[in-house]
Amino acid sequence: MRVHGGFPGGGTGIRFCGCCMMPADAVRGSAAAPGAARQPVTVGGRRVKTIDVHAHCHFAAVAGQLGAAAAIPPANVRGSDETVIRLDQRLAAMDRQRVDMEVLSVNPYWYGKPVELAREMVRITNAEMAEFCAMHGDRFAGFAGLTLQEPRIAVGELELAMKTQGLKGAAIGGNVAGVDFADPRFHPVWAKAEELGAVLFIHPQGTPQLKDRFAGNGWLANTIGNPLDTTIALAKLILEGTLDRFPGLKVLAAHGGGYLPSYADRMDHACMVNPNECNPGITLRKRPSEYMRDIWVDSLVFSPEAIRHLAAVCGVDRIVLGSDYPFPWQMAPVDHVMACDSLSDDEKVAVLSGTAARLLNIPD
Amino acid sequence: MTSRRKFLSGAAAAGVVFCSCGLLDQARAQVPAGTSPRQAVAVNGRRVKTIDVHAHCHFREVIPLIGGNPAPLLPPVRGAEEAFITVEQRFRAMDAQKVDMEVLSVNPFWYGRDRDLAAQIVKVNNEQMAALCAAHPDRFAGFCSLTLQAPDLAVQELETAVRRQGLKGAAIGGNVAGVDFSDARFHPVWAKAEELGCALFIHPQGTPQLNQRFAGNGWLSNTIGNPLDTTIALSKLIFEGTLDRHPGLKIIAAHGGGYLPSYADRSDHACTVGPAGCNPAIQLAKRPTEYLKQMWFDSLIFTPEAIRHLQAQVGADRILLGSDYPYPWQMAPVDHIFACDSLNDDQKRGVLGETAAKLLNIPM
Repeated sequence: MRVHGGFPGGGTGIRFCGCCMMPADAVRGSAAAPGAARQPVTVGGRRVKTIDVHAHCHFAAVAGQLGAAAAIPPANVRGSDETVIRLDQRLAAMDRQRVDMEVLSVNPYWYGKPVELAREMVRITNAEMAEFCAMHGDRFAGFAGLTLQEPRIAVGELELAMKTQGLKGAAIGGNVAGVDFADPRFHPVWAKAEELGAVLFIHPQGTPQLKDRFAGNGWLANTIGNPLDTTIALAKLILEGTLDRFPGLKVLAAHGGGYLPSYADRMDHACMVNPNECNPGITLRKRPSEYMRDIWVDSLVFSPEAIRHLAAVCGVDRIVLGSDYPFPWQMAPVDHVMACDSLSDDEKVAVLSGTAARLLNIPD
Repeated sequence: MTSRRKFLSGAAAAGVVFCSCGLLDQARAQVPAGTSPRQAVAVNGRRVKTIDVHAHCHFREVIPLIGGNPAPLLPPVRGAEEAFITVEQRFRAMDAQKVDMEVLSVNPFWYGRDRDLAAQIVKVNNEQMAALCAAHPDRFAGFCSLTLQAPDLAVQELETAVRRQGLKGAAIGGNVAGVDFSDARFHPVWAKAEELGCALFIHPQGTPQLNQRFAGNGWLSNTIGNPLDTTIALSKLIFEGTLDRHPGLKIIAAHGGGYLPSYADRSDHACTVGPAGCNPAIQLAKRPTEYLKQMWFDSLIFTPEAIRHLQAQVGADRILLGSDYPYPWQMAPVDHIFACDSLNDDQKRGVLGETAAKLLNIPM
């Protein structure tokens, strides 16, 4: 009860959100605050170039060229009016968050569309992304979109993105219109990603199958549906043997990897309790939970304790800064990492910068 | 890769290869060859009566009510046969696990049946449970079954169970044929539970809506579907205001509460980012995560790090010993607690038995 009041959101359903976690100006401040100067981040006296691997955008040119069929899906969510980037506004927000560089991604909204339209949407998205990042190379890098519903096309798009467009990998969502990434149809894409050293950014898009149970207060379709989508995606990549087949795959999972890293151990026991549900044709190289140390996860898990647990499970060298900007989940992503007492200075530098720089080939 | 040889030595079926030999040995030890004497458990010299709040059973006496076919009670899972308790065999298993007392529960399989049949099943379950526990009060306590699809019946059943049958509360599953516990129709049952001061044991039964994505290797319908079912159940009890309406409700959630406690913080931010997904008519008394500190969770989460994290999230005084017996998820549940360095001696005693004794009114 004591947390009531002081929150400017207006709607009563959000009154439990304490002032401390979401300062009024942080929400409103998505619009540039005048005179917010860029503050260099230092850890133990060392200047750190902070790299936020989880930042969203959309390109208006997609619908501009292709029409309403390619329109950005409406989202009744705070921050969605900033996904189409206005440079000065985005830079001001980054400065305020002390983010030196964003690695941008477009959440795929073309997997359910006809292949030819999707391919055009991806073509324009990637061309725009490449141009934008090339113009502002010190502040932005980007992931490509892929026409994953047609893997043959996606292979070519990934090659172009990495070899010609200067992009860092691909943002692939959490599944492809209900088909999991573990499906063999995608093997050629993962083989190409491995060959190119491209990072695959897994960002969930919910689990509409559960919408009846998610109905009601608290936006469970997101707060449960999103970490769940990621959890299924990762669990299948592990248990179907995809990560054994492509051991060089660089998988980066949003929101700390969803539920899986923080609750990974149950997987290790499944086939012991119920061998009937395990495929005798699949022999994994190691325990399912051990694959947690082969992926990368972002830091968007809200508390120092959550980061501590994530580091214990995945290894601190697997955590990279992520904000979800412009969606106001975490408006002080750098401060969040700095507040983690479980991290040494070197580890903070790694989370804020070094690990992402190495993973994505970004000069730091 | 280094561990491959070790794994291969233990398992015949390829699908279980990643399960370490230790786990398999424990599974075989389920029915010890000889008699293993009961070992008193002491923490730093002080005896503690160990109470396992998560132990399953079924009663053969209900089989005639379901057409003589025991299949719904016999999932093709290791340990299933032992859900039909043979007292001597169960005692031997408990002795081997150093469990002094089990609080038994029957997973509901009657929520989809018609009211009268379900009521008959529940009646038989509760009479049998009461008789078994009365015959062995030093080794067994029990949760009752409820005809939750008919809340008016469930109210009476709960009253009878607690006031006359000596049972400790009710085992209610994870939802009632797709309807969440937060639904207003159940309010009278929760009001009665509050009045009686009895516990509600939430044990998941999966999320069949996701069957297609769960198909494949690794039994995801359990390893993801189960913690997910619990997560939805608890989230809805929180967000729909059920726990505000019934603040005295004593909720015990199986498997460490599923995903929610280890990944709770996202819930606190939902209505800030997506107010459209939140109901302005519902004003929670506190932040969503704070409700976790008024529930109890079992210890069935496999590693000392998982326990440390759960302890950090909800407090050691909210954790109770749970084994899932006779399903061989954790065949050394007491040793699991002893291996947790994050718990001091008092906390170990609490987790092993003292907290459950207080919560469930079991004499130490």
